[in-house]
Amino acid sequence: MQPSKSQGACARPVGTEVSEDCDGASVVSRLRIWNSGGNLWHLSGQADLSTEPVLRAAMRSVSAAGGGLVLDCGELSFIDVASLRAIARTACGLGTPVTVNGANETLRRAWSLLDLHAAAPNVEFST
Amino acid sequence: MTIDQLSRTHGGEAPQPGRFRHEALLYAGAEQFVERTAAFVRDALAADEPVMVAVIEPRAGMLRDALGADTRRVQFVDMETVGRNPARIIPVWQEWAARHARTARAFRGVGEPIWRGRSEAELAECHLHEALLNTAFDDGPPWWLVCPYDVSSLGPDVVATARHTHPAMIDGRPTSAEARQPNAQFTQAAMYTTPWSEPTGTLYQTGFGMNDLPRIRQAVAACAAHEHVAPDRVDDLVLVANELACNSIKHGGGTGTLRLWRERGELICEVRDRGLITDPLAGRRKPDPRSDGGAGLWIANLLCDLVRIRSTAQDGTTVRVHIEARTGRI
Repeated sequence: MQPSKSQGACARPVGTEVSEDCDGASVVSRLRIWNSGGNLWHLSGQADLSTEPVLRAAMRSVSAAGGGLVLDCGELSFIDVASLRAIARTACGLGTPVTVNGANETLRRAWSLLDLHAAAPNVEFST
Repeated sequence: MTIDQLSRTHGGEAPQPGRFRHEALLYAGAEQFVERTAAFVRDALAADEPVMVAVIEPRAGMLRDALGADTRRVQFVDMETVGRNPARIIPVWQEWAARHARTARAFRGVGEPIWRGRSEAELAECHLHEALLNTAFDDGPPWWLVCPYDVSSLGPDVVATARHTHPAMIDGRPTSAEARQPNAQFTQAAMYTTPWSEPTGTLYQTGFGMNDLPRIRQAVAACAAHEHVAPDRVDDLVLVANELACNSIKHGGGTGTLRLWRERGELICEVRDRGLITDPLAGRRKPDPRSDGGAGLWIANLLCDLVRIRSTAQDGTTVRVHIEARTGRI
């Protein structure tokens, strides 16, 4: 689901292109984070060290809003360990049920290997 | 302290009560393996001590058969799975020790990380693992770990190296005091300073900084797929390469170099930087899930078939991870 420009401030992506083109190639970390209404947030692109500040800022918005959280990762092609931990930390702070949708196998396995189920037991994965 | 400079404070003499015992159990052939390990396990059970056995098949099955009904009281771990990368073994023993240190007076283990057919690189890491067991458990609860070595199938150099990593050898039934021979050579020899061989050619080589992470991930994915790494493990290697590069960026001076090459049935990814790893157990401690660091080498160990580290103040840190890559012809 793509954000609609008409949905106001909440729908505006809070994070976009972060790193620069290398040799004119189209290889860039583009992490997009947006809210499509209520507590539904979307991540798309690649989340790594270079996009960490953007993710942290977004997670602060999520924390400030409080309540539950549904995180759609269906369009996320890569996420690193630090970003996974940032999500777990936010979820843990919220305390309310958090659902992660569309997580690929690598994300789920890394979540498990890092023992993030223990850090954030309120996170559930759903297809 | 670097990984090359592990020092020992004691060893060689009689076992000290109330301390961790780590001994190599020599045997020649399967029959002796069963006789000697079964005697050790039965002795533990008779003393009501919990015991875990981490060995490979078919020896695990043979020991189970010999123990009969007592097998139920023994926890078996498949060493071929856990110990494929020997750096994964210490965390398993740590979890075992932590569980029993609270409730049991004493407990025991049988761990056989070295078997015929291990590659030279794997053997070197197995010896490092054996040495690090002392580092990991010397100051912990008292328990007794014996490591079987098959003298009928392993090279004499392998058994000779075990004399450097175990305070004593047992050649006979572990429960017999006469079978125990202290190792005068138990000195933690400087075997980790051995230089690595350089690859004869590389598939990919690049310097990197923060902005190059996406490019590195793309290159690793393309190379791994081309070298017939299984698709789900391509993603694993991409994550590991990314985390190693992040370590270089955060702790290794902001930049590093990455190389990829093939060695027989494996793809090797190397990340090199100017940092220094001072913890000899780095990557072998389960990181606190709430913390920020300590996860890169941990996840590398869990996802790769072998992880090798060299780290000195002079040359910086080099990490090589190996992952199975089919040749396509077999």
